[in-house]
Amino acid sequence: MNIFLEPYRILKRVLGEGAFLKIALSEIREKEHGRSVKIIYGVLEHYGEIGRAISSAVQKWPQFSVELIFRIAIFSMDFMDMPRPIAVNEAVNLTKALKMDRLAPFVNAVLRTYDPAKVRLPEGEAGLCLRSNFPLFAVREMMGQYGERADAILTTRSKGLTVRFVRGEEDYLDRPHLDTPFAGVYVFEHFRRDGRFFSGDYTFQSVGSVAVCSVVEPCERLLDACAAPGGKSVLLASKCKKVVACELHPHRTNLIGQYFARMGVENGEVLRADSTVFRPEFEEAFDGVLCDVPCSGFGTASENPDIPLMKDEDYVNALIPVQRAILKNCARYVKKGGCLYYATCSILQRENDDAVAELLEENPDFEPQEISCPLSNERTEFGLQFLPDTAFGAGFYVAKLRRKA
Amino acid sequence: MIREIVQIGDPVLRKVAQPVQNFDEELAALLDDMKETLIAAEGAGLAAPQVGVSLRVVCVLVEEGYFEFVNPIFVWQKGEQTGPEGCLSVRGKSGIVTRPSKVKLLFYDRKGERYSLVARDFFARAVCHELDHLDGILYTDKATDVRAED
Repeated sequence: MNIFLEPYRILKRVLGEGAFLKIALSEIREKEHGRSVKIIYGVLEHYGEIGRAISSAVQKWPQFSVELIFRIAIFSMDFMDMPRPIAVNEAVNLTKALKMDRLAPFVNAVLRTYDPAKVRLPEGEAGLCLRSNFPLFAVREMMGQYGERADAILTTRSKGLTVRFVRGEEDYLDRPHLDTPFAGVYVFEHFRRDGRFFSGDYTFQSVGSVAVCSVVEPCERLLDACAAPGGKSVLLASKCKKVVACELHPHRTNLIGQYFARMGVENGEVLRADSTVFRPEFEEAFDGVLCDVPCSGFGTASENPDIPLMKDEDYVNALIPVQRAILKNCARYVKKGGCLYYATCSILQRENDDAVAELLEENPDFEPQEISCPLSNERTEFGLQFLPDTAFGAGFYVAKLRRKA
Repeated sequence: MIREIVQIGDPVLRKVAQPVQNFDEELAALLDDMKETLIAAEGAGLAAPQVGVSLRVVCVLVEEGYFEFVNPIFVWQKGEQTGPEGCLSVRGKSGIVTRPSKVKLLFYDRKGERYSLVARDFFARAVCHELDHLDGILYTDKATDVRAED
């Protein structure tokens, strides 16, 4: 089998058809797919730089299929130390296998003469855009806010897979791993799920998600207003008496039910509901309400290198009214004296502190609470911002507001 | 799949390998595995007997490119070059071997199509080394001054 075929197929789904990487990856057909996964992530992580490399080697920008073959071949040579003759051979054979025989000599010629020493990357914000794949507006915002640290924040790569154990962690800790500040939560370089995943001994959950849950106070009745796939609801069910998990999309609602069943959660209730629409029976019915709103996901780029690449400012801005509407509506569900939590997996202020500021302005009932978390973070005006470079790749945000009694 | 490279002393390295009869999926799988094994071992060439398969199949990875030769034969050999050589089946050693400087080959690809090719210099050395494997010959049989690599 051609080494580049599976990376080509999956990357075409992501870059050509706009599929989410995590979903496209589940369609991989190879049994041993370690190298393909490495190529797929690498091509996305180094998208901008590889684009420059292609420009340095061609007179005219190639058609999409050929561009993709170049991206895979150049990544394999420059970042995986694949011998050039092998990369050229696989690229040419793939070109032929895709019925583009007449382009095979072109692919061959470009890859044989490609010289990485001729690739020039710009400096400053344009350079950071290329190296991080984040759109310019996000690069500017991070540079304005964090100065030189913006580079580290935006280019942090995944350190591995975060696993949260309920039991049996001692059987896995002889493998290479990093400790996190949370008990039972570790980052593994390699981790293949086994039968104990299905018996609920452990689950895969971002350390950022665990951090958000850690600031939620134990309480009687908690609403998780945007709960799918259900990781936070599951974790919070272990410290709250009752958790109601709401989700708008029916197929995602099912995921929460499956997650509860797998982890043995019995005090959770799944509800398909639109959290922007007021439900009278929920008015002041919860001691705690978590609004982990749909967001850009820009804080998960280390795990999802396709996100900063495929999502532009219009996409992000279109989410903002939804985020505000959910927060505003769900604020009404909090009992007097109870807590409202606002969380995202974003690093952008407009999705984070700005949303809380707007709510506080409209709702003098709520007061921001000072919170702390053992996972490294930056204190913002109203909450905590976890940043990828110091928080195991997780760029999450959380704020806690109390409704006056 | 990366296969294990057998070491000197294994009888398969001394057998005369059989020509390939069927250009089928089994051959393709063997060549795919040999490619993986060669990349992982960072070698310049690999013959099927080195992965324990007594068939006339070799692959060569040199600056000129990556090549797969099935049932290769020499048309002619010219000139002479003398230089160091090593082998993935004789770990940790190298020796000085005299080889032709230019060779012409006839061979088949994995689909059974026939080709010819001229190899020069190091490429020619690699081709000669690998084709010797198909006749049960190791470079240590021809080399002078075989010694352990530092």
